[in-house]
Formats: sequence, structure tokens, C-alpha cells
Amino acid sequence: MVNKSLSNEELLEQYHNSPTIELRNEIYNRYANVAQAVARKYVGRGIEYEDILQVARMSLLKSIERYDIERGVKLQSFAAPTIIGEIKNYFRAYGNSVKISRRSLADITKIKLAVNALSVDLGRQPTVKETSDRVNMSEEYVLEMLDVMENSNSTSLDTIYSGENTYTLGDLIGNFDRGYADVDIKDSIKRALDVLNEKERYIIIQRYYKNKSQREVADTLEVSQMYISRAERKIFEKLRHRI
Amino acid sequence: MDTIKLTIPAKAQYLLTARLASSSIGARINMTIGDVDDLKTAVAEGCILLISSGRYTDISIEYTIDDNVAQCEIKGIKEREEAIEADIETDLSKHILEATTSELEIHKVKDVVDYVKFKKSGI
Repeated sequence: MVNKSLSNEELLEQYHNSPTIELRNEIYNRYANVAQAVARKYVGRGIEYEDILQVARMSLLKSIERYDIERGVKLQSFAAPTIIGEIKNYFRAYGNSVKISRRSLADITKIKLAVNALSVDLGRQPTVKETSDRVNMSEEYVLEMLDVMENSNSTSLDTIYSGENTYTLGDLIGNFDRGYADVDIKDSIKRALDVLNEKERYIIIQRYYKNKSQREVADTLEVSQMYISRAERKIFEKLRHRI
Repeated sequence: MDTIKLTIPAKAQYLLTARLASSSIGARINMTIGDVDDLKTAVAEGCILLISSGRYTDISIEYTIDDNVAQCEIKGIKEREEAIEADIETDLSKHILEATTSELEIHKVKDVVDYVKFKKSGI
């Protein structure tokens, strides 16, 4: 019988001295939110949340069993990287609907870095030729890799981002963020906005991101308030179709 | 002025053929990577309008390249003996075409699209 009044540390110590399934399950229940928090970071990347959560929970169980209290590290500090590792492995195995060879992945990374660097150098997106010259690959191969990238359906956790520092997508995994619950909605809206023309996008951004009134937007565009009202209705119709 | 003609069956599985041809044409006229992507999307959406009309068995895609501008004409050819049911929900394709191309023309016969034409430039 597990003594529920024990603190987490006392429980872990007891488990360390005499491991039983009951103790392990009690520890698991107390730390289940760690698995959940890590799993949430991977929402919307091509694998169902429930599947990721399952991998995270299994990994938490393994972490509890392997945890060594004498090392002086907190269980959550030990479990979180283990869970992340397991999820990454799962994504590697099942994340892409099309399997991409390691070589192609490496080339895609090179192309992406070149596009980013050239965009900064040129002040616009590079052409296919400029990109192929930079990475020393043929134009056809660059186009082929761009297609592969588009059809691979999910982003590799090892994708390299470079700015002030170079880091991978996996490095960006941090603390629990409540905003993640809205990620699907935000993503749908962002993609939906792409179908609007420049003026329509401007109206939506001014009205709903910058909280301007119809009158204020109308004044900026030198049109009537009625025009904005009608345009908004039309835009909503477009967005509804898209979302 | 160069002309490239491509004929595909009016079936979704051949859209990839049209997209691949479009990307190489985009590269040829020195488009940016983003514009190549737009061109591929636009050509695919133009084809979707014609496929979803249910009227044609084949689609002709004709690119006319003048300097760094590609004009693309997508037409239905070979009418079906019996038209299959048309998908009239084509608004999304039209919005996408408007957003990704210039000088867009969409021609309809009896409420069904039979011709799409647009331009896209390189730099």
C-alpha cells in the first residue's frame, strides 16, 4: 500500500530502496504532467498528439525505472531529455509520409541555409540559379530537393536555423507554453490569410491584429466605412472557405 | 519567344507532371524560389479548375516565354462524351490564382471553367 502523504522525494527514495509496481505507478501519476508538457511541444508536426503522448508516457515510465536518486538530479530534469529523445526517434521513424534519404536531408539543409543567407545578402529571395551556384549543385537538383522538401510533410527536428547563433529545431523545445493549445487555429488562420490579396490582408491586419476601427482603416485607405464593412464580409467568406 | 506545350489527362494524378514542368520553366526565366513555388501552385490550381469542371478528358498547358515573363494558358481539350458531375466549389482555386499570378483571366462556358490564363515574371 502506497502512503499518499509522502512527498515526491520520499516516495522516490522508497522506490529506490524497494522498487514495487505500486510505488512506480504512484510516482508516474505525480509526474504525468511532465510527459504531457513535453508531448504538447510536438503538436501539429504531422503525428497525432495522442500518439506522441503515448510515446512520452512510456518514456516517463522507463525514466522512473532507470532514475538513480543518488545522482542528485531531479526526476523531471532526468526524464524530460529522455522523453524528448524518444519522441525525436519516433518522429524519425514515422514523421515523414515520404522517406527521405540522409543525403537528401543534408542537401536540403544546405539549400535552406543558402536561401536564408542569400536572402539577407540580396535583400530578396534568391533565384534558383543563384541558389544552385551558392550550393554548387545543378539547378535541376535544387528544384528536385525543393520538391522533396515540400512533400516530406513534416519538419526534421534536426533542421538547422541560423541567426545570431546556429541551433536546431529540437533545441527550441523549452518550457510548457499555454499558447500551444491555439497553435492549430493560428496555423489555419495564417495559411488562410495567404489566399487574400494585399489590400484584404491589410484590412484584416489593421482591424483584428492592430484593433483599428472600420472608420480608421477607411480613412487610411481613403475609402468609405461602408466599403470596409463590405470588404470584411467578403474576406470572411473567403477565410471560411479556406479554414 | 519560346513556346512549351504540355498535354495531360484531366486527372489529379498528373498534376505533378505539370508542377515539375512549371518549376523548370520558372527557373529558366530566373524566378525567385518563392515565385517558382507560386507558379507551380497556380498551374496546379488552374488544372484543378478544369479537372473539376468534369467536361474534358485532357488538358493542354501552354507556356509562352518572352524574355523573363511566362504566360501560361490552361485549356480543356477533348470534351467527354458525357460530362461527369462538375464540382462547382471552385472559389478557393480562384482565390489562390488571384494571389499568385498577374493578368489572370478565367473563362467560363455555361458556368463551367474552360480556360485559364495568367502571367508570372522572373527578375
